[in-house]
Amino acid sequence: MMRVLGLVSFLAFLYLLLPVLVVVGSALGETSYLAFPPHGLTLRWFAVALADPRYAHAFLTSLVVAAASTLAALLLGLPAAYALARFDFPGRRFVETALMMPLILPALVLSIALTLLFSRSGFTAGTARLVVAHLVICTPYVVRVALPVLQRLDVALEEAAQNLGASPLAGFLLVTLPAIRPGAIAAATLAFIVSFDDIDLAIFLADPRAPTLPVVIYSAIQLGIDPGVAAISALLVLLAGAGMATYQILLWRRQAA
Amino acid sequence: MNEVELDGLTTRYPGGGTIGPVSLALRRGELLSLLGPSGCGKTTVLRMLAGFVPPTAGNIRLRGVDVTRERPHRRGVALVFQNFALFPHLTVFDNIAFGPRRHGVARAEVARRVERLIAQMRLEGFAERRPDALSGGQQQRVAIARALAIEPAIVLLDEPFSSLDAQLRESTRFELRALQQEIGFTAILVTHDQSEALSVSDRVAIMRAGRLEQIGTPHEVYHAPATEFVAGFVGRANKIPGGIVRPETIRIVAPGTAGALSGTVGTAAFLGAGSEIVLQTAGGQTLTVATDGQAPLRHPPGSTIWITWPPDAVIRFGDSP
Repeated sequence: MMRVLGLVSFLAFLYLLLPVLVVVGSALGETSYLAFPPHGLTLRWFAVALADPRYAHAFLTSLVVAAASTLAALLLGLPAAYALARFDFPGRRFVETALMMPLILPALVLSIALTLLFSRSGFTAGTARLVVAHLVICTPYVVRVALPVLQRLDVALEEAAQNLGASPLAGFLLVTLPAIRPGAIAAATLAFIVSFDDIDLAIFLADPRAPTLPVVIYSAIQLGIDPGVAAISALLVLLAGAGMATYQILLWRRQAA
Repeated sequence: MNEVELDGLTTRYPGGGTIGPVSLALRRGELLSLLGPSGCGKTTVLRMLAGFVPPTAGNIRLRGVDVTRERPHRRGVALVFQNFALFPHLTVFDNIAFGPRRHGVARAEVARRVERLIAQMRLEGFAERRPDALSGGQQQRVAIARALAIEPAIVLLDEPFSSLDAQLRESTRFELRALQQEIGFTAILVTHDQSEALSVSDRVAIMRAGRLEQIGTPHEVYHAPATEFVAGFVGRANKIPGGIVRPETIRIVAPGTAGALSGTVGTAAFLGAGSEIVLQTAGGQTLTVATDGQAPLRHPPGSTIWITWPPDAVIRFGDSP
């Protein structure tokens, strides 16, 4: 039984990892077209991708958009989750469901809806507009992750803070927020990834002069797949891997301390 | 001037049901227990004092100042929670320093105060630990230190021993009392455990269904209970015509003694230091006798025993207020 389960988990792992292997592998090929397994072995395409200012600019734009969207989603989502967890008000369940809506709605539908809305209201194209759009898809993730954490948090902790002289706001900042920190970090990570990975909204709403990285990669693929695209994708995978490794090391250090 | 005064304090729940009116006063340095069965409203009274439940009538005065409408963080009432509610992300030092810092106490004074409390609570060496690295008894001492750090007019203790295991509970009880007398803080302790209330309090207030039944010293509420409910809740009581009699005042006497009552032993339980014999009288009355540990050997179930009690052992109601 254990052996079967072990085999299943290995196959699942392989299945999940396969696309990453293909991307990294084909970025290492010498040919000017994508091939897997790669013919020959070179880092040339990484140099090409890194030298291309379009990728560098797009990467920065994506970082800025994702950081701003995450911050805004936390500022909106954490208080919303707090209100849902702590207070019983009329329509509470409706609000909770409504906050989950963007998760269910196809992103393409949302893109069209937001494009129409923005053009009618005269909110012109620009990075700020994309951030506002990403807020719609990031906030539900923050609420979804933070809500159960807040519901589990002992109300007595907040009461203790107030009892000792902290105003409700000070109590939230000094006790509630630190107590839910792991949940808040998870929520922020998820929101960041959702914004950074988004292409549907970005295609419609990004500033045409400053597209995000997924948009640039997408248009590069449309123009003709070259290993430069694979290289930039491989770099993103490496970046994500490095981020995860850093997080794990920090976690180990904390546990050791 | 009384340190704490509750005057007709009442709260009405939206769904019906009222707690109060409760009126009582505490002198400085006094420890009063609010004793009652669960659901009698004792915790609600505590939460009204702390400002978490708004009273619908009556008022609260602390050191002569009316704080009935004051918000929780401006009361100067310190609550020790049932589960202690220590801040898990802060060290013992920072937990204790939390209150004074919020009250704008100068940094040097905060450190002095925290160090003093750490010494008083015998928590030396634990200042940099987090709460989850402490034992239950230590956590409780941190919770009390944290409460005392704001130099409150009164400390409210909500079932402070219920989250400790049975062995620790008794020793901690006397430890808390010793600390309270040494430091001299005023306190209200909420409990449903009568032996806890009797053993640590200056006075005991017994609550039933939202109202106070009696306030008095442990001796008064035990030996002169105002109502049958108090008599039954504080210690055990045998109901007899005209009043109650405590199990330990009943004597087993020689068969046929003049004026004695005879009965058949139902159960005879050995309790270590003593024993408890439950008997059924000829009149159909059930009486519990608390007596020496050897008694079950002499009076096995089914045997007949003769009992008596001194006339002044009978507690009557109505004639004593």
